[in-house]
This record gives sequence, C-alpha cells and structure tokens, in this order.
Amino acid sequence: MDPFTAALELMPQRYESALRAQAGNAPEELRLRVGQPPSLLWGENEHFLSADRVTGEDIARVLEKATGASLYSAAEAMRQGYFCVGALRLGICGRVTAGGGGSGFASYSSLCIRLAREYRGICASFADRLCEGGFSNTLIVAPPGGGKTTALRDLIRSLADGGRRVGVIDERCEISGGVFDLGRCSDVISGLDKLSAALLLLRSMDPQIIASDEISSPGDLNAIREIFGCGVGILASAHAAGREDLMKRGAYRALIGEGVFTRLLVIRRRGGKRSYALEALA
Amino acid sequence: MKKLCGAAAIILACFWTALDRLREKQKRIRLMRRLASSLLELQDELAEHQSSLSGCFRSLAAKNAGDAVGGFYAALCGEMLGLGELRFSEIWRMAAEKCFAPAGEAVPDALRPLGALLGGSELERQCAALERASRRLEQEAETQRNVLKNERRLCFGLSLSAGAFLVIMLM
Repeated sequence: MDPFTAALELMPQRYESALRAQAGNAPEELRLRVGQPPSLLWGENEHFLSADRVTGEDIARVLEKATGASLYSAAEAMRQGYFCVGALRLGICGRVTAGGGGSGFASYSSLCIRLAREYRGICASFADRLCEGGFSNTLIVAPPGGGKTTALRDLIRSLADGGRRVGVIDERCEISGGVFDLGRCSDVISGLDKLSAALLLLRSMDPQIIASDEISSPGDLNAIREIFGCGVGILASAHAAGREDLMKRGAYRALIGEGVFTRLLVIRRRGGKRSYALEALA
Repeated sequence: MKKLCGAAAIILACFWTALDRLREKQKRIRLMRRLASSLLELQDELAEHQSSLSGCFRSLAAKNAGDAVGGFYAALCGEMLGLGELRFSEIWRMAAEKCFAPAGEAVPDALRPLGALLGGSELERQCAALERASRRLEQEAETQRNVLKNERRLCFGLSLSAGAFLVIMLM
C-alpha cells in the first residue's frame, strides 16, 4: 500500500473523497488542525481542502486507529514529537499532561502525517564519491521536511548494495519504515537510543559504516563520538539550511572541529524541487 | 406403584430444577473469576511489555477459548477492525454488553469504566483501572458465592418439601 493510501485509511471518512482528489499532486504531508479544514503540503505550500473543520475528536480517532488503540505503545515516541507507523510519520501537538513527565497528551490540537517516499537513485552518484580512498564521514543537512531521511535512505541502499556493510541506527523505524529496501548488506537496529544501538552494532555486526538519522540531542552527539575513531565510517543527518547555519550551533561546530565529519551533503529546495550538493569540510 | 413412581419423578424434577438453577449461578461465579484473572493478565502484559491491545486480546481469546470470556476477547479482536469509525470505548462497551448480558448487570458494570481508559496514552492509569475492575469482579463473585451457599440449602429444602408435599397429595 502506498503511503498516501495508508494515510487516507487513517483519516476521518468525511474527508476521504476530497483528499483522494489531491493524490495526483503527490502530497508530502497531511495536516489536521483543530478548528481548521485539513490541509496537504506539496510544492512548498500548504493547500487547504474545502471541507468541514477538524475537531479534537477527529485527531483522537486518527491516533487511536494508527496505534490500534494502543497509544501507550507510542507514548515515549510521542513525547519526543512523533511516532512512525509503516511509511507514515505522525507528529502531534496539544496539551501535555501536567508536569510533562507523564506519558501523554491531555488533548490534541494538531496532527501532521508525513508520507515517507522512496526515490531510488537520487543520491546513488554520491555513494561512490564518498567511498573514494576510504569512506568520508558525511553529514546530510537540510531544514525540517527537506528530504534528509529520503536522501539518507537512498545513500544507505546504494552503499549496502555496493557491498559495504552498513549498520543502520533506526531509533524509531523511520529510515526503514518497515517497508523500504535498505540494500543487501545493511543491518538495521531499531527501538534503541543511538548510543546503545551504536555500541551493539559495533560489537555484533562488524559494520564498515554506521548510519543514523537526525543527530540533535547531546546523547546523539555522544553516540557519534563513540563511533568516531572505531575505524567505522559515519553517515548521519541534521537540521540546518547549510554549512553556515550548521556552524552557528556549538555542538555541531565542535563535532566538525574534532574532524568527525569531513563532508556535507546539503539539500536545498527551490520551486518545490530539491538539489543535492556534496561539500568538503576543511 | 404407578403413584409412587410419579411421586419420585416429581421429586427428582423439583430437585433437578433447583440443581440447574444453582449450576447456572455457579457458572456465572466461575465466569466472573476467570474474567477477573484475565484482566490481571492483561494488566501484566501492558505493564511489562506494553503489548498492543489487539495482541493481548488475541492471546486472551485463545487462552479462554470456548467460554464467554474467550468470546469477549474474540469479539474485541474482530471489532477492532472498525477502529476509526468507532472509538475503542464504544467497541469495548458493545462487546461487554453482548457477551456478558446473560451474566447480569454486574459484569458490564465492572467493565464499563475500562472502555474510556484502555488504549490511552497513560499506562499507569490503565493498569490501576484494570486492577480495580478485577478486584470488583472478585468481590462480586465472593458475594454471589456466599448468597449461593444459602440459596443452595434453601433450594434443596424447598424442592424436597415441594416434592414431598406433592407425593402426599398424590398418595
């Protein structure tokens, strides 16, 4: 089932025909906001449907269906912003229960369903370049929704199909989505934090490259430092519009200063189209 | 001789009716106990493994196959396919009413509060509610068992007296 159809199955039935009519625009996201009609993101803009306004009950129903009435199983991921169901990534906003340390939301105000897609070969040409004279540790950068995970997925597949053993840290099953092909020589570990997953991969799978999505927290950066110097290549992604943007953030500046990453794969978006540029980090 | 046989048959029929009624009640008590223990199993499964409700219902349906408790969990498994159109709380309420209506109001009453809580994001509240419901069912079963003890004596006594009265009348 393609991601758009999977997302439609979760949506309230009264929106189904209006949403289906937009399938040809290849939407990247579906959004429900309480008090607004549903919207879809394609190109660089959101497009609102002429339909009833969304209620909190609508969002609760979608979440109940997405988790099989087992919201608790996604509570930890939800607290960190989103959870994945197959090729769908569901991000939630609302009022978190008192203290914030609880496991749930008292009410929901917005839901964003991002449809993960597979664009085979978009980064295949970079795979060989990254491996010239040994793998160059590479950081993929783009703003949120810029296509980092899609690029990372394609790079992993290209490297793994090229015979390199790639250990994939897929903390919340977003890279593999349970449906995407990550190549012949990839080993995927999910459900663990990045540091534990990295140590497990190093101990047990003898990887040549370790790949991880969205390194942002201090824990994630520690995991990258643990991998660095183990004789294993590193491929990761981070939020930033480009090199200058990245260097404004102390944690990344330190990592780059320590020589952890030697290349940047920058994704830019213009007129709804993405371009990819490989840059060397001096 | 014929009258004697008739009288004996009447005594047996009265005795049998009383026994049947008591057996029904006993069955209802056993059902409550099994349901109470299945709720505790569900609580353990949620607390320890955070398994999905569908998975828990499937395994509880298999474990209790052949009785109303198994039927309840099997009905939940089937109805979960309608999630999205129906909220889980409605599915839970309908299954409880459908499967436990013959057991009286006590069972659906004990289960009702769980419908609004199960499947939510706060696991601790769900586990506490499951424990409460299980305890309530156990208490109800214990109350009914005590009532049954008294009823058993009364039923046998009355059925035998009724039978004896009829025998005298017939003789």
